[in-house]
Amino acid sequence: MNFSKRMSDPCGRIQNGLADQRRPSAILLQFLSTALSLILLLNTGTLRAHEYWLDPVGSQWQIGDLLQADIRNGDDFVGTAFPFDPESLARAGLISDSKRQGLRGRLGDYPAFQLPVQEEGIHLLLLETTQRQITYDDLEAFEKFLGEHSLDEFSERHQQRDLPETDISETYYRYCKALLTVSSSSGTDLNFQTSAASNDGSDAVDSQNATHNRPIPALQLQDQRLELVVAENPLGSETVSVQVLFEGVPLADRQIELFHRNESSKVEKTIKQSDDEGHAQFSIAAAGDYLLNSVWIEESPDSSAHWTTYWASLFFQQTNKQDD
Amino acid sequence: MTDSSLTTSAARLLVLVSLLCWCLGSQAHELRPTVADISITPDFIDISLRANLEALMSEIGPTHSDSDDAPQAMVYDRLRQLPPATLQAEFQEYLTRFFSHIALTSDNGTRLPMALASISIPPVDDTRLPRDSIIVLQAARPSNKNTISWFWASHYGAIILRVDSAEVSTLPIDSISNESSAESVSEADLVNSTQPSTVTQYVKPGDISHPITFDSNGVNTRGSGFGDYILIGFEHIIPKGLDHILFVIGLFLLAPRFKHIAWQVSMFTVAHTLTLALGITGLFSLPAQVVEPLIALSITVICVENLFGDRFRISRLLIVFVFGLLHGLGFAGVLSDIGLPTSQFVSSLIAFNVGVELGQLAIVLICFVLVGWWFRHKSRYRAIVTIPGSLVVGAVGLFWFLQRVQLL
Repeated sequence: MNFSKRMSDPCGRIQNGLADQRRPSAILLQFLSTALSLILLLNTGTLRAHEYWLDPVGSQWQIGDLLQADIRNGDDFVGTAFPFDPESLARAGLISDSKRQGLRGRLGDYPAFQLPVQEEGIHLLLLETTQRQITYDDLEAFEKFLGEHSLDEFSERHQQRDLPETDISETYYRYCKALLTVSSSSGTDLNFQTSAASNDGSDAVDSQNATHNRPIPALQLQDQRLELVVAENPLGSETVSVQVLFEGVPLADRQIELFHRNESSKVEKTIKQSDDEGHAQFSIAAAGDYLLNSVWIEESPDSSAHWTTYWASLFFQQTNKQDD
Repeated sequence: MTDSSLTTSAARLLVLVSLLCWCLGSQAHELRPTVADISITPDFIDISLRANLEALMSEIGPTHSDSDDAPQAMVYDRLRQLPPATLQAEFQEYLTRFFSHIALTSDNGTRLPMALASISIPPVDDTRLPRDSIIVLQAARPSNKNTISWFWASHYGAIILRVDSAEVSTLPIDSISNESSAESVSEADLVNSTQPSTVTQYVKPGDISHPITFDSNGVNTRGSGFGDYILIGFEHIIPKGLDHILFVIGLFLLAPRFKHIAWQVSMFTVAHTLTLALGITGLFSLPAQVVEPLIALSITVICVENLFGDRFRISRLLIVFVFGLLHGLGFAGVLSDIGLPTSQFVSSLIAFNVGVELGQLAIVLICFVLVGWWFRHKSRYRAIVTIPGSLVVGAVGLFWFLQRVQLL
């Protein structure tokens, strides 16, 4: 390779001229490369795994237990666990009937979420990340993302705003929740009657009745930018009514996904659009893990990126119903 | 020119094929930092790595989306399919190269030779996810050297180094809104309180770690040991705990008699030790919104009491005890933010309390040197010291109280 030659030929004419003289094998290689590049192009946009959620370790908890949950990032319940890193988290903790504990940990801890269970009842695990950034190579990759979350109208907005067609930058934030129930007996509230210690069982009834008369902290809005909230404890329910809100205002016609992983690890995805009040109903009768997920996009509030996206997730489990 | 063009095309094709295999074969592996737990014993330095072994061996590098990494991605995918025993055998072969890319050095820059102490690889499982193996490395501890540093090649990615200690960060549970009230500001500070530390550090790809210092017993001297918790406790009085300082001054102002001060301070100590222990174990706690205004109010009440005479009554001790309970809950809030090591829970709790006591004694001593010593025999002590002092301190307490219940 002659460096000076190339320098003296800024338009690349010499190279173009030489291309005609290349061996057939070189042309074949060129063709294959181009074909493969095209195939690869279709595979772009998958670099950011979609869901980001809190995945509790175990399925039953009692007072005094250390409640552990992994922070996972992946698709369709297949997600890599990430360690505790206070720099990457804006807010995290555990909310129960009378307590709000901030997440404590040490950089590098696995599972990332570890806090003691201090009381019975419904618990909300809460987590928000600090700002992250992603760059789409081209409009196609960006539109692919928009399409997956039925945000297609933002593709037009992109053009209206005269934004570039390559290197589209986006900042994003994650808002995670997980709901779980701590009961005094070894089982869940559903089968307290069968628990060996009847005293524990009656305690469970009392605390349940008590919570019906006042708002349950774990089910209240938690001031997340994008928030998924359920009206009732999904444990033991046939259906769940979920509401999606952005900055406290219900989002109408917003896509909400529900992932269900049954006991044989088969994953099914259901997609619904929220109604005018931001609500959507899903059937959750089957046992297994459930993950609600929704995404919203806004013009980036600062000049650091073209767009800002918000990702909300809500995880809960459904235990095996008793055969009555 | 023709030859080089052919070579370039061939190379490009190779890269593209590998990239394709990588895209189709597995999902993007987000590279997470390796976590290294370092324990220093009198004879050895043990380094336990929780790592994506396949990523290390394929030298895939932290910028895995670059096409340059694609051939390594193929290696990665092959390794990821290997059962533990086979992967371990391959790692044994790779070991010399591995160690050549790591530098564990003592303070004079000498490289400490390491050996593989043990390795634990999980079964193959879901190959779409990375598996974390535990690799334990061991080096003989150099005599008379108290500092080590860690470096490894940038293609091994970032690493978190953690030396035995109880360093903990706490995140806020409530969202930090734009309208920053006094409380949310302090929570924001808490998030940022995870300062760079030599005990727990995040080492970026290709960076050398901060020096890790330890003493002759092998215990890390910068850790949160007994002495550190004494210091934390002391600092919570002087200079951080202005409200606790004023409360102790309020106690002091009653009368310049050693017996009176000693009784009150002891009662205060017993009470706040009790609630500190209850608070920190999670057995009893009150929200800061309740505790903080009451602590401010306690200063005023004590000072008002001072105005009504210097008679030392049992009721005075009772009041001090009740307020001590409150202050203990305040301390518990601080201590649970800092965190206590589970292994040395009791000793750390005692150390924190000792620190608080030393802080209080220092306040009493300062007051005594500044005021008490000069005026203690004056018959007009009350008129010169107690009454004006109590009025000022009590007013400050009242001001804080109103501020904390947001009436000001």
